[in-house]
Amino acid sequence: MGSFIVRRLIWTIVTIWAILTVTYFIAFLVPADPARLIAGQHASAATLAAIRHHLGLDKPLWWRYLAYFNQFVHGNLGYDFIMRRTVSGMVLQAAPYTLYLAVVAVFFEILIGIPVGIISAVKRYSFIDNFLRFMTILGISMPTYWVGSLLLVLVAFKLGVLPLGGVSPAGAILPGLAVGITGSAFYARILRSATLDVMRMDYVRTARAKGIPNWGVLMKHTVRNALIPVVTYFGLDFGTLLGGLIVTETIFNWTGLGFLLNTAIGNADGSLIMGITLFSASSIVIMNLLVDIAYAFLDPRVSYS
Amino acid sequence: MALRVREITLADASAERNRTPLQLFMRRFLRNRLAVLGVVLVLFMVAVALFARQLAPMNPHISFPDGTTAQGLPLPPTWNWHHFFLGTDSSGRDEMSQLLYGTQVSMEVGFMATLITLVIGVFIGMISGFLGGFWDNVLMRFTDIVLAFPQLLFIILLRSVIPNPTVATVYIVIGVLGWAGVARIARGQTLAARKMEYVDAARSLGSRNLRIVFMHIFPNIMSPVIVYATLLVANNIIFESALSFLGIGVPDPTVSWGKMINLGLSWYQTDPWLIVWPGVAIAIATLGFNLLGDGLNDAFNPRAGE
Amino acid sequence: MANTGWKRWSLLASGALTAAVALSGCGSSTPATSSAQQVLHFSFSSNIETLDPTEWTDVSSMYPMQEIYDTLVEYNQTNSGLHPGLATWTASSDGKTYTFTLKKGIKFSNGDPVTAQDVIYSLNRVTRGDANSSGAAPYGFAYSDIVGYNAWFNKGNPPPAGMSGMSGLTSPAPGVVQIQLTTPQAFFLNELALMSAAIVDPKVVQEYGQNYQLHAVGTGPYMLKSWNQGHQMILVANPHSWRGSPKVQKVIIDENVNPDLALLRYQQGTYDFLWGPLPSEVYAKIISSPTLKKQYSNVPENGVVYLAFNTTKAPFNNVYMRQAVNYAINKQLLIKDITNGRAVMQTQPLPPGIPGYDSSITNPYPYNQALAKSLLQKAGYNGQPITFIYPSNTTDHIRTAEMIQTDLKAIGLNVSIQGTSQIGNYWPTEANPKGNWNIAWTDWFQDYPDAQDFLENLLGNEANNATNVGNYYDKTFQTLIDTADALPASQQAQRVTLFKQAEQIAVKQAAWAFLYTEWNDALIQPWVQPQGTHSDLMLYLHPVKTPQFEYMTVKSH
Repeated sequence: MGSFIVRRLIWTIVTIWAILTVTYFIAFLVPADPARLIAGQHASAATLAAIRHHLGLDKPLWWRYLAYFNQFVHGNLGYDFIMRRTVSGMVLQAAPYTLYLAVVAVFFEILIGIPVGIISAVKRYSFIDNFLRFMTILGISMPTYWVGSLLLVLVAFKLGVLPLGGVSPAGAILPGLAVGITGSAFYARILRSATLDVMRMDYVRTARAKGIPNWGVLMKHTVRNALIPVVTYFGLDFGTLLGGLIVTETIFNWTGLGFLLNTAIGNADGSLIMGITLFSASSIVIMNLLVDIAYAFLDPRVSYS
Repeated sequence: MALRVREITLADASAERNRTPLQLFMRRFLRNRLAVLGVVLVLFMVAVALFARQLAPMNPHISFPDGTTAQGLPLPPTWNWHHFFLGTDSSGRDEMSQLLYGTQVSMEVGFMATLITLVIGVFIGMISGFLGGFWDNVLMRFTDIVLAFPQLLFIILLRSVIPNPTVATVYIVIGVLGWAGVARIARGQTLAARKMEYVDAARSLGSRNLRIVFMHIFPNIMSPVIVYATLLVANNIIFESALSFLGIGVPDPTVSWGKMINLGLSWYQTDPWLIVWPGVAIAIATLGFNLLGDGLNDAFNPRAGE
Repeated sequence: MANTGWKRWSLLASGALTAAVALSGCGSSTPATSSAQQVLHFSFSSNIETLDPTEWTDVSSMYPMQEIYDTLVEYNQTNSGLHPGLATWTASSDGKTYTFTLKKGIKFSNGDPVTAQDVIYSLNRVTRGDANSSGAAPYGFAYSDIVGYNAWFNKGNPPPAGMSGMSGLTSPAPGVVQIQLTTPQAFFLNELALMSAAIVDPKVVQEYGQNYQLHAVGTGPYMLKSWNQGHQMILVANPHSWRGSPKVQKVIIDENVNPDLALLRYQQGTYDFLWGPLPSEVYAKIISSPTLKKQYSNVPENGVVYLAFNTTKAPFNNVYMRQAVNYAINKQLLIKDITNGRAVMQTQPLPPGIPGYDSSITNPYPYNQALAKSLLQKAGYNGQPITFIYPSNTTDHIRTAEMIQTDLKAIGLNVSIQGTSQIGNYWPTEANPKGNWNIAWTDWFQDYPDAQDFLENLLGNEANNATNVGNYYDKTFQTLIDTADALPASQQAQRVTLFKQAEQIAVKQAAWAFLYTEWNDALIQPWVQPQGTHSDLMLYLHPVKTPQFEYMTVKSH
């Protein structure tokens, strides 16, 4: 077990290093001139040269890469000359908002997924099963940002019951629900199979045969059965979840990582785009590590070799 | 927003011996009404994409002087096919015609990106599964790293740094970053196929390695890959729309559903149809592919639905 | 400037120009105490970029900076004229020496007294990029006519010991600053009224170094209380202000609030102000609501939106080609669809509010496709590809580019449009002196209300003039504006005559494709009212200044 965790840890570090390297070369091998961006239109060639020197852009690429790497190891993502703040400062300021939204989103995914999955299984092959399956597939077929904008119009604007955007505890409900609607399909699928497995168990069959569908027993066993696949799926899905949030945040004026990324894209702000990508990707990799470890504890059958 | 990894296994054709696998497959597939609906939607979208120019009642690029009100505001739907059927955008351009043209971009990006993903993924997966040992290890570690990359983020990063993009830029960027999932499936299937008797037989008859791979293993790994690919098309359509929504998708003045939503979003208080139409179009297109993929999966693998 | 235009160019912040700015009085945050303490609460759709004068380039930063800092010279609220700020001045008869006498007893908001050395320090600082964290001094060029600028600017980083600044800045007596120029400059005082020339406290700058902007201190009516960057900035009345205590004691600025949301908060009464230019969708709601309509007002900006032609290479080194594009664009439709009619057609390089604007030029290039086509033939255009570049950071820019492309294709120009968020990459460089483009969407908002700011900056051929993006050059034009620039401010009438002559040339030669001058507009809640002698709230839609909170009062509501 210990060696399993150590190996997973090393592998996580290697992956983060790979992500850093790829991100760096994508973001900085482009023919953009940050100096021009910073100095603006009036700048003379001498000013530009001075800024390039100030930024270290006149140094060789490998030197800059190592410098960035060194910064990263020290938890520093560099200084953003467009926003005039440190990248780490901005990312760390925005990240809790996104994390909060992610928790709300997963809550909705599961809240929708569990009843849909269980009802689908109990009423297998019935109209309602087909209908629910159709609805969940329809859910994944809609862009999250579009569902978000519809909710904004219908719920917040027309009905006026929830905030129209902006960061507040209740403000997370609509963007979270948008992600929940578009992401619940697979939780429903997992719950459906888990429930079907439970229903095949002898005592449950007996109970059903006697005409006493014991919902309590069903729920208990189903949830226990579904726990491992749900945790696994959560790990796999975390990156997707974050991707969905990133596009949705802008619509709700939710100033998390996605909002920040959108600003960065508009400004062609390479260092900020890179910082956000690196931070999010690393979080995803670390989340996967945690899920793997949790998985190992939850399921004693997993071999750690 | 991204393809959810699904369990895909080979169809167990031995269960019903008295029919050919194709017959069984068709029977199971056609019994699934949702899958049939999927086929209908996909064919519909492909047809619209092919004939968009002929179908479009107006030129989607032209800002008509009567396409906005006197204050330059968008028109609501007129329900007159030849005159702003679904209304106009804030530039006085016909929404219906834009929707039809948008189908072309969505289908092109959806299919081409998937094709690129499949070619890379199947190639790497098969090589990995076939060679085994050291190379398998190297390739799969590499695949693991790529799989750990959040795809949408890297698409955004890559796309936002490419100057002067074309539609091809968009599908290449989406396509080249998505292969890891396909590679995993292809490798798994190759490993399974390698153990089968006919491969040993082919080997003992002196077939060269590459020939074995392509002639014998390739057809056997196709069914799960097809399922995955169908779902991938849906996914790529959504990716494209998300990129265009963020303003880093297909280049202007190409019409794209995501771009239409982006243009219409800020009008939600006065002209909500500007985001309704393109969103519905995206949902119909992706729904078709998702239902089809789901149906194929169930048909290839009868137990997957449970 | 500091302007929407520059901003759109530099793309430092997407959407800052459409920053629908909202001010609010005692909104939900201070319902009960509104009679005791008046609060203004406004929002930006983007970030406030900086509070450091050396880094200043944009309008959104100007709102708080104008409140925190003072300059030696200030613009009048009522028109574009100048009046003393921190100092009164006299100019020598040759226009090359200015002597400023600081008003007595002025203190920074931390209690430090303002000295002549502080003024000299501030002006020296703004010309050097190493004074701040970004390494750039975007407005340092504005002071390049001060004696000793080149020596100071070109010194190493950091400057060698014993070198403390420009030799043209001296203090002959306590509280007196003398500025010597290499040439007379009619517009020099205007440049001293820019936010880049704000007077900072050297002690604070030295104490906080790179983090200065989070601790900015000035002499203005307000001072920085807190700034959670990207979210909210709070200003409170400066107890040491030499102007006395303002009615509005506290100003809250929300950052990153999109315009639709800001409008709804305005309608709920949370915000009392929405400051423009208001985006189309917000305007659509205003004209459909009688209540909002009453609270709406607008004025033309001192700015221009135009297309620059790359005159360094074919085909737009040919005047017929440039004229053809001018005739081909349906400007009326553009004004209707992009600005909802909130613009006036541009007829010449200067906007109507700038002295030198020639009202006898009415519509030099009316929409005429047939004429445009014949001009193309006359120019011998052979279908070669034309690249049209534009900043793709807002949907309005994208729509504009698409509409113009349609118009140009209609006369047979083979135009492709390229949106970019890195438009700087297209400008000529040493390696690629001609640039990879033919037409560029451009706009400009004045730095100060003088024709020189438009004609010299945008069409003049001074060395390294990066704002003349298309490298337009005409010998007669250049001579005219050079002559006008060298005249002292006292000969304004003659300068205006020269500028008008120069304008005629630029119009005849179709130096740009002229598009329009936008209006600035605002929504103001009825309970926000002018204070003292400032009787008209529309004064705050000032062509030069942003709204000034010290001239407002918030009635209880």
